Amino acid sequence: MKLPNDGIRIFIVEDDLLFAKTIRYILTLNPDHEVRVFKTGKECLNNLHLNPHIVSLDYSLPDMTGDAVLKRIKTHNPDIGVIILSGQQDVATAVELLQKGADDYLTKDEANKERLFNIVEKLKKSIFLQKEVETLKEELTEKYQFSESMKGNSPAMQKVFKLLEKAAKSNITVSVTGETGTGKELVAKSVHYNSTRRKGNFVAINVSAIPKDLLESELFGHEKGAFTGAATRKQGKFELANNGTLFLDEIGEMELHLQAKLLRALQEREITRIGGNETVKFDSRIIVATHRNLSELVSKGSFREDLYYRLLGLPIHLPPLRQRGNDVLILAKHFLNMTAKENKLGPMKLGQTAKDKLLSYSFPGNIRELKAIVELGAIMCAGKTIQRDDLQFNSPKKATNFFLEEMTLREYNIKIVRHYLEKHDNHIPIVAKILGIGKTTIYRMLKEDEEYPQREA
Amino acid sequence: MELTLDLTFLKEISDGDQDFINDVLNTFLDEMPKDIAQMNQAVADQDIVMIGRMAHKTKSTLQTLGLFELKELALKIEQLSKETPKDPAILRLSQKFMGHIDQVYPNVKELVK
Repeated sequence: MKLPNDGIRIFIVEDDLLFAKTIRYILTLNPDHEVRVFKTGKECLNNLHLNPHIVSLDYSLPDMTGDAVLKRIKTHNPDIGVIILSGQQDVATAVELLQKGADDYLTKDEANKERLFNIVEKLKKSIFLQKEVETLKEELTEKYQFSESMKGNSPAMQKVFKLLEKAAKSNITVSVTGETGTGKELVAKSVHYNSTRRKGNFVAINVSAIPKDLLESELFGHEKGAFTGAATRKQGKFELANNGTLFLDEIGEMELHLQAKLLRALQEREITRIGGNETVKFDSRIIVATHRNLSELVSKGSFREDLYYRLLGLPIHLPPLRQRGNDVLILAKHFLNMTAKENKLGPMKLGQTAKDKLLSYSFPGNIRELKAIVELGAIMCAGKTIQRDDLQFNSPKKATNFFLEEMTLREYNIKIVRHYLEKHDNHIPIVAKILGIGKTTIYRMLKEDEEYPQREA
Repeated sequence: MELTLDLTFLKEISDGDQDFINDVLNTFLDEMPKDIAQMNQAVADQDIVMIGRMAHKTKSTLQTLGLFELKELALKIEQLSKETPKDPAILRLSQKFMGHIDQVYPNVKELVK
């Protein structure tokens, strides 16, 4: 039997029927509570399939001890909140049951409306929080389904998808390479949320973003007093990712002395917190990523060869966006839909001129850059269809990526001329001299280029 | 021994809901004789564990109905049963307890409206 979303099912396990009726009366004053009474421990246990949220348990039942019933309830589902009801003289036993997993206790002398409501409300909050966490985890799993999180039909991406499926089904270390902005962290999350470890934590750390002195403590944790400022014991990322996935981004930036410690941790599957002697076992999948060529770093001696082989695992290389053909448009459409939805802009689409412009660009910042361009385009667009002029390419790398754009020779010429004009405050005689062409050639080229704003004479 | 019921607690939690109060009182009239019969048998058998069990079970009912002195008596029997099971006072107090309960029934019936 299903309860409405906010409904709470409560079991009262109490052999004193009169007292049970009183408790039931109090609890059913809230219409969200569905309350059932059971006179014995066995009756309660036989009905656990009804999935109660809270059990009010008399510690002294005719057929079983409160201890035994509590244990069976928590084995069935540790999230069921259990309130122990005892006599005043039995408080010591009730407290003992708290240590064994009961969530709260109440003496029968104090079982008035206010106390009962307070306890139940406290447990409800924790139950709803638990429900919320579960819902969020389910949403995350859905969000990171391969078909949802990663878009693309290009052969290069189809190859990536096949590798991702293999990675998700196994427990192997995964090494992700690719230029900045190709979605390396997204790959790591997708592997995690599609694997059997999805109920554990996904813990990410960017090696290059953490100051070198702090990285060791971030990864391995520290004991209280291990160094100045270590006021309390702190768990490291390895411990936090236990039963989940640890994502080490920009692994190529790690210093050699820390690489040795990382290697030992991966080999032994255990770590020692800074300043501590105790070894802590961990069970996490490791995913690493870098935009650098690790084998080159090994050749240069800045990355340990043994660690390189330990981390290589299943290599997944993410192609740059410029090598993914029409994926640019698939991704652009995806980002456009997201932006329109988030900003309540209504349905929007890409016009043909915008599509042509996107397809002719090299995207040195890859998917991250495409997303930013489309988001801005959607906001700047006057209507519902994004046009060429709505898309602004502002990549700081555009000079170095000059030749990656596919253009005609005429278009390249105009681009060169415009570059120098911009640099020399549109002073045509100077530009003509620099480029070794006539002023009239420049005027003619500018006239042909409709986009060029004509300078006042 | 005060054998008059104090229904303050029941009235407070139910805002004087007489149907609920009647239900509780009728439950007492239905259930308590069964418990007392079990206790009587246990006294006859000198089954101290069962005497203690039944004394324990009746406590919350007596507390709910405001029969505080009877509840204290039940508690005393329960404690003696656990701590000094050979104490002859257990049987004597149990007889006394059951006799008082017999006297309570008419008081309860009077309150059912």
